[in-house]
Amino acid sequence: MTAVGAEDPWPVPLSALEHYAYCPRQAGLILLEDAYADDAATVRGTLAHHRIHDPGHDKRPQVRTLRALPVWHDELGLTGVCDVVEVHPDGTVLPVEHKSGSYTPGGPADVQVAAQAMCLEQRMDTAVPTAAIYAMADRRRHTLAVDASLRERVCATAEAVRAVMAREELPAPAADQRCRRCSMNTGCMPKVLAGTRRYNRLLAELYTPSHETDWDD
Amino acid sequence: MTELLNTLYVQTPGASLHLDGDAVRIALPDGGGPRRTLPLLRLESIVLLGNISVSAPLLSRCADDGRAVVWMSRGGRFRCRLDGPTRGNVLLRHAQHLAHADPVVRLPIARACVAGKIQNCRQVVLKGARDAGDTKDALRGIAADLEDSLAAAGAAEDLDVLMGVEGAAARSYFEALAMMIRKDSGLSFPGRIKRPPTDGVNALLSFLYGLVRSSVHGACEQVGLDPYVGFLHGIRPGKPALALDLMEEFRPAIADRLALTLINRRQVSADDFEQLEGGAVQLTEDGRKTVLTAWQQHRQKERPHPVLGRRVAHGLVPFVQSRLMARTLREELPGYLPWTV
Repeated sequence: MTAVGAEDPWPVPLSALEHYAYCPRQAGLILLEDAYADDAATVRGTLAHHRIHDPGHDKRPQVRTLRALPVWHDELGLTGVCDVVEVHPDGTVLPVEHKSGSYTPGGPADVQVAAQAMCLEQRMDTAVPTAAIYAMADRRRHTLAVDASLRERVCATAEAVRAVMAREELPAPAADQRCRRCSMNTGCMPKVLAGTRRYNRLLAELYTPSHETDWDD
Repeated sequence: MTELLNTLYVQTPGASLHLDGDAVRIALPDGGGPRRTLPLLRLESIVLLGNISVSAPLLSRCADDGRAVVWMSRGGRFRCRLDGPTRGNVLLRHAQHLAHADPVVRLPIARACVAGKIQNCRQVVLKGARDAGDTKDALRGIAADLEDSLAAAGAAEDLDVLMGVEGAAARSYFEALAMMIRKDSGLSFPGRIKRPPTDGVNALLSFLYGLVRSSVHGACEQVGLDPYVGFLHGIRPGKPALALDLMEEFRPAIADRLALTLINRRQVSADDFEQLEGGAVQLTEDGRKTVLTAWQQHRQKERPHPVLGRRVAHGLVPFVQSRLMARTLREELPGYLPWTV
């Protein structure tokens, strides 16, 4: 692994911030094990993003709409792509992150879109005090203030992601209700890892002849 | 991979496969039979037995989707496999190589593979004893021998000893297998003969082992393991040693049990085999069709999985076991636990 200098922080993908905020292990599996699994929800999201990133005709000619815009932040070491960035006539820049599900206030998407706002501030040399999340499930745009505490959360999450990458060790599984709607559940095996007592018992019995089994054929 | 997808087996000589939108179109020689297309979405892999051609667009589509295309000889011997790019799980592969190089890590995994095989062999023999007439005591005796082998595997202090234990267990297990084949089936088992098989039972076993091996190999690849770096079977160029390690536990409970069922229920009989010049024996085309149909049904059947605590289809067990192996190598689990029935 190449040594990384202090002035050159490891680039953290903006999507990883969202993954980490949802579940540290999910971020770890994607970053360290190159493991990504699709389910119906993620495929729906991918298809929706193809549409969003396709420049259609804009209904508001006075607003410039930039799609699939690559952004980064040198000092924070962030890099990623904004779904949609709106540039209004008064110069206001507004990142709009599209999510196929419904919106959870204070949830992982907030961190991701706030990070986009911080990247855009540097790239476009302007203040971005507001960001938005468009939730496809409720067909609504939710705006949020990119305030100091959210900015702090972005920095802390980026540091945490960087620590996972540096340690090369997967964070422990959540093994809670998050796992039920996680597309990576099968590969992660949260229940098996969380219940190691059962695993250890089976391991200890490996060389003892097991009970005569029933064959149901 | 939560859905058990199908595998398309094609064995009609001269057939060709083409990409048709999001489907595969199968063209039979001389344009015979109805037009057949299958949606690719439902296919996990495509297995070609013998002389079948595949169009380049279909191959590249399968590579894009990560759908394996496997070529086998008509006898079911594995020839090659086309897959998408190697998964980028380099930390897992690195851990696997380090584990292979460290006897302290390697030996327990190799032992576990042997233990899983012997446990499942014993269960197959016990089931045979339950159904047997005059061979009941002999089968019970072999089951007891296998218990001794199991303990010996647990105590083996190096790989040579372990391989010896495994070999001895296999010999007595195959003796039991011979007893479990009904006299009126028209087939008998002279002991394991491979490369090539010279009788029907061995031809059937080799064919089924080939099917198991290709599914285990695919599961290793999908999880990101290197199928060629094993613990029991070590490394030798061209030998998928990890796939062979992992398939040990599946041979008795999945392949041998299916072979016994097919023979004893006379779904497969002496007519389903042909002898080639020189003495090698292989399944006939009809025989292969019977076996593949039964194999597809067998893959759908579920058994309780001791580690997961729920029922898992036979066809998905190799994926579960590859993941347990991966988690063991990444030191997230304290050791590898084979699948025992």
